[in-house]
Amino acid sequence: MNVDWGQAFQVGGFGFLLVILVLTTLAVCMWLIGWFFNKSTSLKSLFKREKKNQPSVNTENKPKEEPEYNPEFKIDNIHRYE
Amino acid sequence: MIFDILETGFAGITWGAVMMIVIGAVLLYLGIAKKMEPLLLVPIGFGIIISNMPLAGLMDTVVDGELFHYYVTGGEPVGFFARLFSAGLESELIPIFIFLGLGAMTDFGPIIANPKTLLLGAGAQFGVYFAFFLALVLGFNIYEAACIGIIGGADGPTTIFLTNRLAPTFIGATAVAAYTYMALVPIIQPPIIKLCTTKKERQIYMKPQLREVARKEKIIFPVLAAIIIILLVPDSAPLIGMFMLGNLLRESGVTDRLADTASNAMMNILTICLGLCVGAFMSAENFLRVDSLLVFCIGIIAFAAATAGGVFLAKLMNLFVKEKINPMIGAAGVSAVPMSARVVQKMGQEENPKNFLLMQAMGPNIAGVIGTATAAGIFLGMLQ
Repeated sequence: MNVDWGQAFQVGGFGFLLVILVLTTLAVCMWLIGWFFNKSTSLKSLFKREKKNQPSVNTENKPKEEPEYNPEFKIDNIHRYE
Repeated sequence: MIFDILETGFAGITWGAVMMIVIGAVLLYLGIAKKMEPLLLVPIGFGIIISNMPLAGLMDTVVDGELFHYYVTGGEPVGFFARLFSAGLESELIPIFIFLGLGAMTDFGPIIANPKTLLLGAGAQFGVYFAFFLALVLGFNIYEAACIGIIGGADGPTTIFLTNRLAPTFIGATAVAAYTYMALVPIIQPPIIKLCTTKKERQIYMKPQLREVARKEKIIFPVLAAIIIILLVPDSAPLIGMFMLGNLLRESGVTDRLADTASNAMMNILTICLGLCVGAFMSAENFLRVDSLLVFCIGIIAFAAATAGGVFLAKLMNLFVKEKINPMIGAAGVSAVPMSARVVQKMGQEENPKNFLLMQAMGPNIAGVIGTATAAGIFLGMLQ
């Protein structure tokens, strides 16, 4: 059977290159999307951390209130208020 | 006489039919006793046996008023299996809907987490094109060569889809070859992997933990992949479109019922129909030919070349990447999901007990499905 080798090389060679191109394009796009998501996630967490550090928002850093007078207070408990 | 031997099937039995019944029995044995792809080999094997029963008329087709006892493409289907074949396979409904189910069963997480494994799926397509040229050299025409080549992708529905379009008379041989080699992955792949790698390469350690993939990424992937692939290869639209739709149903989180139906009930019904259709097509007239045997021989070479292609591409990638990849995961670039990834995992554990390569190998494995469907679309676009 006569084979048109020109057509065969076009189908085989070009086809193989096109498969590689499709998968490479997809890989690059997914890498970019992954990078974007990682970036936005890390930006979000950074933003959250900064918000935490702001004195108005951060409840942990509020100056501790002086304990009220308690006649049962024992000196052993003093470290709790330091 | 009420019972006449001439009216029974015994009168019409031929050596070809006997041979096919034996082949069907062997496939049943492989499926049931050896548990090789039983979901496919059992209906295929049984389909072969009953469709080759003389006088049963299950695959009867009428062409220009003449009755044939086997399926003739383009004829009017009369027998029950002939009608099923015409409605399910010739119309391409079954392979395309199987892709919907496959998509609903697939987790794209590993390739999203590690996109460079997509390239390994391309490496494995080398086998498809190698077998394409080999088939041409052995005297097949370009349409038949494309269908034989696609066996190297080890993807049954894609093979059926392409063969039905380009060389319908080969559908039995190519489908059975593709499914048989898929079933034989644990036997065929390990020696080829060992031949292409050194012990040191097989022991390369890869972190089993991939990065966590966000839900949004998993939703974006099928949509984006469908757009990119169909724009580049429009003829792959039926397969890729349904594959990505199935995955979107799974990942969207709002269509659980549809995803469940696509991946379970629908998939099971389609698998029964597909197996019966492929088996029923394998009449002695359609299957016992020299070119069918050649299809089987080139098919296994295609599969071996695809395995080697993936391994060598992984080795090539190791020259450029900081974190070395175990070249064995390249072998999973054939689309026999997940058997191929399991083989890599097992071999990896044998070589280095610390290695858990399953998730790393799933990336190329899924890329192989996408790559083979794309290659089929390219063949269609260029040859139809």
